[in-house]
Amino acid sequence: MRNYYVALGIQTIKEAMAYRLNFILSFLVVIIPLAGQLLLSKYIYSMGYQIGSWQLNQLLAYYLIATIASEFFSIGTWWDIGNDIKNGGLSSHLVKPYSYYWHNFSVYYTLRVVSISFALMVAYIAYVVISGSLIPHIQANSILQFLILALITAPLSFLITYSLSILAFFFTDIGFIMKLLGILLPFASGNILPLDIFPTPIRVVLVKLPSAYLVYHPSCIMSGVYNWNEFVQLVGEALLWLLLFLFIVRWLWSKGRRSYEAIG
Amino acid sequence: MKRYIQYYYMVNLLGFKRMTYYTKSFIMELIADLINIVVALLFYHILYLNVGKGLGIPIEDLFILVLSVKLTGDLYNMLFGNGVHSFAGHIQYGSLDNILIKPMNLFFLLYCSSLNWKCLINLAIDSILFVILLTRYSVTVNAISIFNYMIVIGLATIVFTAFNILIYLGSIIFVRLDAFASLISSFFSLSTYPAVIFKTTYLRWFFTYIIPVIVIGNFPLLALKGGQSLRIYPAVVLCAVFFTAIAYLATMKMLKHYKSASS
Repeated sequence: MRNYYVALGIQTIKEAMAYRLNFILSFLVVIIPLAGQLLLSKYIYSMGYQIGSWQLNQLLAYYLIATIASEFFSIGTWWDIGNDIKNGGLSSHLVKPYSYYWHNFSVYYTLRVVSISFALMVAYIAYVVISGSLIPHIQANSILQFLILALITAPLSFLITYSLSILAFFFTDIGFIMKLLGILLPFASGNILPLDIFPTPIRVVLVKLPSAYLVYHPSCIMSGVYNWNEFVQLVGEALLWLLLFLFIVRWLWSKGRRSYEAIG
Repeated sequence: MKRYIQYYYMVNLLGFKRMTYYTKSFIMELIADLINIVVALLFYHILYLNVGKGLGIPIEDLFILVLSVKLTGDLYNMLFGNGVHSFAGHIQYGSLDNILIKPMNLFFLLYCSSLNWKCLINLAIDSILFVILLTRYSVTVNAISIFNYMIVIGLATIVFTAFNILIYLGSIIFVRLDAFASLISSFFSLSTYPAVIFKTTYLRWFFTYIIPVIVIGNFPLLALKGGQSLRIYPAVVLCAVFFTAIAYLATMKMLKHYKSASS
């Protein structure tokens, strides 16, 4: 069965490459909002002000990592799943000897891995142009912490995406969820501003939401903000979210399967 | 002219009926738009709490900037957005024939004939937010500055529309235009930033005359505030005329390459 998922991954890359220009342009899209954030930050610091406790270099690195993290750990509704459920295409998957969950996981993360390599290049170029520094200030410890957390947040982001997508079992149109997420997520995840500069009542809620474990905390880790004690606590909390969404996905899937009528 | 008005009325009456049929979707989209503007205002509010004057211009000006961008966007979406955005679909599926055979002006049929009713509500919300903003921060405005503001917003909408037409005309060349359109549109995410962040003259020139980001938000703000803003009027008129002429000529020229066979 492992061969099937590998072959599926290769096929996904080929499919994406059929529309090469479209694929490459879609990565460049991340650079423009990032450039806006970097330019605004540079302007504020050039006026002699400081955002929260962030040094300029630290903040620029934060935005760089946040852009990459939000690309890799992005959540939303996965069009393929919604479409399968809505149009009855799910039946053809259910009769085959593989897990529908892992099938989509393979496709989803193959595209993410390809996109992250481009996003890394694009974000790095933006960083060098705006900051004038070739090497972001990142410590080896931070990279290790980031990789450990990524082992939890990667499946967590897919579980959230999967659970939102299978809502198509219960609602005719889930496009609204995607639109709402597109508006709220960059803000709530710390993509456009670090969450620690938010007013306290908003901050205490947002830093504990799963969205923060996908962008804000990984970006803080890479900026060297957390010591190991804080990091262990963070990992524990992320694991709790992972377990919760595992439960939610199982529950929604079994409930949805019962209501699915295979006629679209 | 009468024929055009009749056509416009009939098309949009049908659009209104369709909208009332999908009430739930309409309300959902309205909620999303409201959340969008709240988030945009909150962004500057939080930054202001942290850096105060470090943002370069007063907080009320930043809020006016954000609302101006939204107003321009809503005007564009209400009057032209439906037509412009459906252009790529017409090319991709070969359905442009239905429009080309009608004995009316193509530019009108393609871009100006379909009204988005939802944005009418958005415009009402924008107006209420403006009134709240002006009274809450005691912004001094007079009839002339409001008139100037409306003129500049109108011209900015024309510039924004013409620019979008140019983007979507690319669908005659590219099979998949979505990423290209997203890339160019992403530049307009910069329109809610104050122009002072573009420090070099070259950048300001680029974002005024090549990708008219500054025209959308910063120019209306300057018009409302008065003062040293006289320079903006020739620039905004020039942009409107230039982009509209290019969009018109490009549409007519590109349509000659249309082969009615879908992409």
